[in-house]
Amino acid sequence: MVMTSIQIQLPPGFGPDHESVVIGYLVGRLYGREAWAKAFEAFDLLDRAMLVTAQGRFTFRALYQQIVDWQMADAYLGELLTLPDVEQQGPALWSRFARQIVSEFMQRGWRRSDIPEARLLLSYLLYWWGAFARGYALEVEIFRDLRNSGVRFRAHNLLDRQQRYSPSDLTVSGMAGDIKTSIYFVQAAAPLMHDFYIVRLFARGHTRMLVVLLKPAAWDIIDGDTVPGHLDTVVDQLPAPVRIRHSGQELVVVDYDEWKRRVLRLQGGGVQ
Amino acid sequence: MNPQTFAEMSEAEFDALLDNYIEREAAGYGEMPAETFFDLLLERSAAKARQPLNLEVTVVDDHLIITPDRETGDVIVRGNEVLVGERRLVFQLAGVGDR
Repeated sequence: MVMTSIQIQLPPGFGPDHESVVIGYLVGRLYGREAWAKAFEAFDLLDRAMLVTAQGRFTFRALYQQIVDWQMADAYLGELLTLPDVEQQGPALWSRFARQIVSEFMQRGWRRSDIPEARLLLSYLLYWWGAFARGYALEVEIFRDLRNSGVRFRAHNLLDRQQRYSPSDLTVSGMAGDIKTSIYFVQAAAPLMHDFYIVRLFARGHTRMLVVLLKPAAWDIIDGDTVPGHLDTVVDQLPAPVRIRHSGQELVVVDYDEWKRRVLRLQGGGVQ
Repeated sequence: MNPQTFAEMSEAEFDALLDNYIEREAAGYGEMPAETFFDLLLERSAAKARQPLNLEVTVVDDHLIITPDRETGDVIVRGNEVLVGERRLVFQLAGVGDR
C-alpha cells in the first residue's frame, strides 16, 4: 500500500448535515422526503469535491470516471450478460466489484484515518457504482422480460460503448424509452425527454415494484383513459393508470405489467 | 440523524459500515420509497433543467478528456464525445499555441 500525501477539499455549502445523510445512506437509514432530498443534495455537492495529490487536483466525478467507469464498466457488463438469473445473481456481482473499488481505494493510499473526509470519496464512488451497476442490471432484466412476454422492441447493445451511451435504452412501437432505478433517476434528474420510463422503486413495506412513467402523448397512443392522482397516493391507485401533475409537468404512471398488456394489444398480440 | 461522523469512526467501524452496506445492497435492497420518489423526481428534473452543465476539458497525450460537473440523464459525456439527444458531438484538439 502506498502512503501518499493527499488532501480533500469539500465544496462550499457541504456541511455536517450532508455528511450525516451520506452516512445515513450507507447504513440504510434515510427516512422521509427531507432526508432523501438532503442526500441527493449531498451527492450533488460531492461531484465538485476535490482530491488533491502530488499528481494534481481531481474532482470526485472525474475520479469516478477514471477509476470505476473506465476500468470496471465493460468487465461488469460482460459478466452481467452471462448471468442466467440477473435478479438473483446480479447483486452478488455488484458487490464483488464494490469490494474491488474498496481495494483500489486502499491500494492508492487514500484510506487515511487522519483524513476522515477521504471516506466521503469512497462513499461517493460506491454510491455511483451502485447507481451504474444496478441500472444496467435492471435493463437486462427488463429486456429479457419484454422478450419473454412477446413485446416487440429495439434495444441498444450494452457491450457496444457507442450504443450504450445512446440517448434512449429501447424503442417500443416508435416510442423511445429509458429504464431507471429510482435513486439514479432522481440523482441524475434532467428534463424528461423520453416518451416513457420504466422505473423500479419501493412500494410500502419495502416491496419492490416496477412502474412505467409516460408522457401524456405516449399514453394516448396506448390508451387514453386515466384517473387523476396525487403524488402521495399514486402508489395506492395503481395498477390503474394515474395522471399526476407537479412542477409544471404532467405524467401518466401505470403498473409495468398493465403497461405490457396494453403494449401487446397495441402491437396486435395477446398477453403471453 | 446518525450518531457518528466519519471523524468519530475508527477504521474498524468504518470497515464494518462499508461491509454492512455492501452486504445489504447485495441482498437486494437499494431503491427509494415511491411516495418520495415521484415528488423529488419531478421537483429535481424541473430545477435541473434551469442549471448549466459545466464541462471540464483535460488534454492527455493530445487526447481530450471531457468531464461534466455532474451526471445528468439528458447529456451524456464520455471521453471526447458529448451526446445531446440524437446528436453526437466529437471534440478534437486543433493545436496548442499563441494566437
